[in-house]
Amino acid sequence: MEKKPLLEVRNLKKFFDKTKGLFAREKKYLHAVDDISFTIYEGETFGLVGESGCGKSTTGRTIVKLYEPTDGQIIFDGVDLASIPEKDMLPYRRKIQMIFQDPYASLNARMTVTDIIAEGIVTHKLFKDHDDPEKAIQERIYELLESVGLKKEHASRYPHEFSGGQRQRIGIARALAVNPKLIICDEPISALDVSIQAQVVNMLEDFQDDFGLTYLFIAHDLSMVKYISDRIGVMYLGKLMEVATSDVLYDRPLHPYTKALLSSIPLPDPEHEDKGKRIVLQGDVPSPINPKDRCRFATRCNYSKILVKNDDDDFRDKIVGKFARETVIDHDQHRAVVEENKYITEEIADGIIEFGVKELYINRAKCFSKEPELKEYEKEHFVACHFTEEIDKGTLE
Amino acid sequence: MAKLNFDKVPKKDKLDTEQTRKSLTYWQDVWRRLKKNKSSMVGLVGVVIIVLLAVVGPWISPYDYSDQLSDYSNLPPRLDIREVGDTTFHVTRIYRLLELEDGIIVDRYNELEVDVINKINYYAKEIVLPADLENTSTYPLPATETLDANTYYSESWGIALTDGEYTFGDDAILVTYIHPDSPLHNLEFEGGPYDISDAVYFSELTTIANYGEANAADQQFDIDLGAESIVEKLDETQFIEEIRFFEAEVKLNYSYGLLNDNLVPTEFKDVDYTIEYKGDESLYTTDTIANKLFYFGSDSQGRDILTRVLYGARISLIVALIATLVNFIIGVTYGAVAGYLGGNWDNVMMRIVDIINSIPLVLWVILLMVVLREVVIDVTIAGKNYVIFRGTSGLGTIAIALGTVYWVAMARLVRGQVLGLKEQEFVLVARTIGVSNYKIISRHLIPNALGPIIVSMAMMIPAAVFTEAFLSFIGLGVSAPQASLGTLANAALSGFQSYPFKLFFPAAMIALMMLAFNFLGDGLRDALDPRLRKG
Ligand SMILES: Nc1ncnc2c1ncn2[C@@H]1O[C@H](COP(=O)(O)OP(=O)(O)OP(=O)(O)O)[C@@H](O)[C@H]1O
Ligand code: SF4
Ligand SMILES: [Mg+2]
Repeated sequence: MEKKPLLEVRNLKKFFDKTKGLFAREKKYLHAVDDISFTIYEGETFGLVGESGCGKSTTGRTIVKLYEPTDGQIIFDGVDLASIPEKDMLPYRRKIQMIFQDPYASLNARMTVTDIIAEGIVTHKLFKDHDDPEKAIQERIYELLESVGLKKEHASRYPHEFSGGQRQRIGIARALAVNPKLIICDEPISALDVSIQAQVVNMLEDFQDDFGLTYLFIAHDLSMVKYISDRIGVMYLGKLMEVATSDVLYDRPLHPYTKALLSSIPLPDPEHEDKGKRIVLQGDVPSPINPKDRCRFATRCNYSKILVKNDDDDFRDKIVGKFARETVIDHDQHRAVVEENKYITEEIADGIIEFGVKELYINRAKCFSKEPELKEYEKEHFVACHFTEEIDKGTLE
Repeated sequence: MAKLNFDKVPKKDKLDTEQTRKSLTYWQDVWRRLKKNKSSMVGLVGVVIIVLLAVVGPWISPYDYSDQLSDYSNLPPRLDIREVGDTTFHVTRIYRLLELEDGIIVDRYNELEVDVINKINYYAKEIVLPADLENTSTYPLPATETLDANTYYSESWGIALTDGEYTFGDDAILVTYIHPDSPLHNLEFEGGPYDISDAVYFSELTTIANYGEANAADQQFDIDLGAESIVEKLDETQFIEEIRFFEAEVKLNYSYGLLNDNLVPTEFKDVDYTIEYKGDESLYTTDTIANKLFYFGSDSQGRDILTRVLYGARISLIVALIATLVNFIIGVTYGAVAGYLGGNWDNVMMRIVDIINSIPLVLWVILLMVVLREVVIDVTIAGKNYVIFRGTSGLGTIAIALGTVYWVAMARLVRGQVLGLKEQEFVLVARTIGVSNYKIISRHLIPNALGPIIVSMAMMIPAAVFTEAFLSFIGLGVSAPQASLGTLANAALSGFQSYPFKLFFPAAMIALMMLAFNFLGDGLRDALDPRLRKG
């Protein structure tokens, strides 16, 4: 079956201006989303995962143009939404809906359920040709409420009278009310009880079949995403690191970040448990403000540094010219800190040796000097890493 | 094993809790919480009473705020009385002599002479004037009477007396024509014969010439020159309720208080003054009675303080209303728009707010007063002329002054609220749906900020009321004869020692209003936003 792209995101960027004060010397931009591209096909669920703060929500919100994209294209149904001025957006706003994470914040506490759900219908004048639009809207609301598992009687109530799960259902009914094509679910279940999460996810899946919906499903937890998604994109610091079908991503993760993420999921399946040791990510996520030109993941990547030992004859040659990181250079708790991203000069190298350093982590120059592009490594398996092939084959030094 | 003392309830007996639970809206919940708060309910009741008084009070009061009964100035709410024989007198602080019956002033004695040792002899009672006058353009002539030539007519009281015919029977004067609604119409006076022109103290008596033609049967004044002039006078003046001639001389001797101690006869040592009437003498005040003419007393112009305080409350409430409207219409809209648009819009709009906020209110009011003093704006609707704004009255200027600056705090508050709210997911949802900016502001942002808005409004109202009172007090606001509470308090300052009641009532009114509004505001704050609760 020929897959038809519904949404193509090309080189999308969203920077937030974080420059403080009128007279700041340099502009500070927070690269929340930095040049990402992916395609969502009609009828599928595309999962977007990553740690908190990596730009998942920003991606979703930029697609619906809650944020004006800094650069790039958002091609929906053949139309580039990024280039459409706000006043002409209305017809597309009906086709893309969003479901938010917080079921408490996403419903206006001063409106009844009816008003909340009817808002989209009224805004897009969906029943304007009806004889009795008001009645038709009311009927439609009852129908929607029942389809998300609520009762007619709930229609005149206020949000505070509902539980979190019920509220999220109301949010879903609101999104469905305008017959959208694409629904962006921004962590729709992470604020819910585990028992309710499954209900909501199942409901979303049912609607996908019933109404031919396409989902962009955002989550920071990979286990649920695997269950619901056809394909998954892994984000880190505003960049897509790996995109693959969910099976491939789980079975053969290639990017070091994906590997680390997957290894942190406790799997009930012993087959998987055996396969990989748990990889613990070290350090913090670096600041997304004015990022340097290097692999975003380099500071925490297990593959981005090489261990060099003093016993080697060519220790000096090996370290000269390479990048050095803040490194424990001997076991006697002496720490020599070499500034990040600086080449080790001859003098520094002599100093290190003189100091009696026994082993040293050296940064891979490639990882720290150039940003890897998201490349199709295998069919439908995109990875952004300089050493994909080496890692895949296990030939990395 | 212990016997189970509970049974399983069959399914059909279970209450469907889902459907029987009554749902409270936010506002019902607020009202419920407000009702629980005693002090705020006191405040609410107080506000309602004050509003009722201020709206209805001036209507039902027999006086207008500017009515002057200058003969009865500075009367306190309780009158000291002295009983002399059967007659009850009150002596004012300027030794004016009033005859009272049950707290109602029956007569005021005209002071005739003050002799060297500070005795005053009063001879005639004067005529009590106050009463409502129905304005009618023509009055029917009394059917039985004909006005002859040489009829006397008083310019100031609208009374016409037939010359020479006042000896009717033995000792009677026939008053030939008085306002036909007057109870004195065709009244006969006993005693006499009197020379009317002396005894009644008509300030001017005018003889009507050629009046013979006026025919009683016509029931109407002929429109001839003399008659018309009478009619006009009668229109303008209040008709006479009572007319009396002096019965006896009253002597008021207030020399005791002024004499040296050693000159005061021993039996009069603690006597301020004595009243002598028909052979009886009174040395001491015997009682105090409520002043039924002016319940809160009268001011130095003889205006009713009660009416003026109510009228002042009305002005305060008008100011409160203006402040509220301005806050709501300008403040809320401005703040919401600035907060919602954000970015440069917000920057520019908030700098404007900063500028407005930096103008001292007093300076601003003075400037406006100077600029607007000459300005009068009026409109003519259906032939009638309505003055919308008069620069000299002060109220309009205060309204403009408050209107231009008073929304600033509200705009800031709303902007802050909106800045927080607009990032909330329900607003983002509305934007993804494509709801217009206008609807987002009016249906999502403002309703959710309404709690803090109402709270700050409830706090702002007493501040506005107080500002108006303060400005009027220092002479910048509402000016006489309009009665603002501040103006009243200011006017009461001179002579405060002698007439403390003149300050007490307006001050009490200000205090009550502030208390009521603040109690209500506190209660509203607690009810609307429990997180803001103090302490
Ligand atoms: N409106 C904004 N203005 C400025 N910075 C923002 C804004 N929204 C997000 N950011 C920043 O952009 C980065 C990405 O945020 P985003 O909300 O997209 O992350 P996320 O992946 O959704 O995280 P989470 O899992 O916590 O929801 C963060 O560093 C955040 O601080
Ligand atoms: S490019 Fe280097 S740092 Fe980045 S993921 Fe690949 S190996 Fe790690
Ligand atoms: Mg998020």
